[in-house]
Amino acid sequence: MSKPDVPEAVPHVEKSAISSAETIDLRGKKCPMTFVYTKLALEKMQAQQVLEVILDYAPSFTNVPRSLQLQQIGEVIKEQEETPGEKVLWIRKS
Amino acid sequence: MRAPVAQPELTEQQIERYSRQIILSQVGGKGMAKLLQARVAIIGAGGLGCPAAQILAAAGVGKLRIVDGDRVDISNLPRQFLHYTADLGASKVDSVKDKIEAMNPDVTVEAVNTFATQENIGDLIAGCDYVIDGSDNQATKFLVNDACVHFGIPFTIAGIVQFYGHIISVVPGQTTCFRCVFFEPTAQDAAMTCSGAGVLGTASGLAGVLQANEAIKSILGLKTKFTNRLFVFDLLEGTFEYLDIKKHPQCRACSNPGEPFYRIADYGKLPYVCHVSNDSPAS
Repeated sequence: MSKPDVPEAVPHVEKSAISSAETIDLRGKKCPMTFVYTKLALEKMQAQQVLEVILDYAPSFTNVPRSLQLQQIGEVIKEQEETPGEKVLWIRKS
Repeated sequence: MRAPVAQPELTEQQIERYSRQIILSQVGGKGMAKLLQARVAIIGAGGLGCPAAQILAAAGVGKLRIVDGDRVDISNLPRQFLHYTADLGASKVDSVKDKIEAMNPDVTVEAVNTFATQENIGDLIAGCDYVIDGSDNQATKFLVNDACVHFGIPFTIAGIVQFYGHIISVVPGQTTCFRCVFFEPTAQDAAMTCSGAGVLGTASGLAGVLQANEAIKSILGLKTKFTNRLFVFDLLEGTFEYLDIKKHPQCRACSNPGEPFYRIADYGKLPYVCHVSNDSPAS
């Protein structure tokens, strides 16, 4: 299975920002709580810092990025499926 | 194993309970923390105070000071939604406290079993972030206005009768106050009170909910919108209107807010006690 997204697709992403990202594990959580926890975690961070979010509820894979975009609080700069059925999003706080 | 980020301000249960508010871009975790830390005084635990208290408590406004010296009468029940048949004869503030504590353990209720007077109003609103006037008489509305203007506490006053209501919000030092518009209490016309003219719970319920909305917005730092204009509704005709109002340059309350005008103003008879049923005990 090929990776759906690779860092090369977003060349402005700094690898150091991703490697030092804060992580929240939201496996087992569903919408809208996945967005709620993501939003709360971003609130505690500085602008431009990166948050790593692990999800296993498929609708959240699109709902979380969409809600972040609507509220202009963060941008998904990288995403990948490390394990089938799980997705990791790297979100840069706006 | 990757550790979840700690959320020290809100518990897991609070995050779940208030999730639909936290989602709002105007609230978030920081706004929710503000609500949980806020203190609101509600003067009157009746037709306006009950829905206002219910909304604020459900929303997680952490400290509510409920002020009323009255007892629950059977004629209150169609519009004073936090009082139940089993509460007849109980003090209104105790009745409200019981319901709210059962509804939301995050909320602390200070039940103050008294009517507002010139002597006690300073203590009744002290330390509050917002004040809701839910009283049933003009004198108390002027008193709440004058004291809040002096102490610089934002507040809202509503009045309702039959199917009609009006609401004004005031940000002291910034916006038109209740006295700028209505000048002085007039002799209470018994025919035009809720007991004399009648009232429907939809009118008081709507006004109380809108007052709670103003309180929540003020706590969140959002602009309250019933300022510098009076919101007037008629639920019989289904009309909702704003009347523009202006600061009165010689307003005795807000033109010189540093002076405690509420201490010397003539409010007529205070505390105002309105018994709405012939079966009520004599005052």
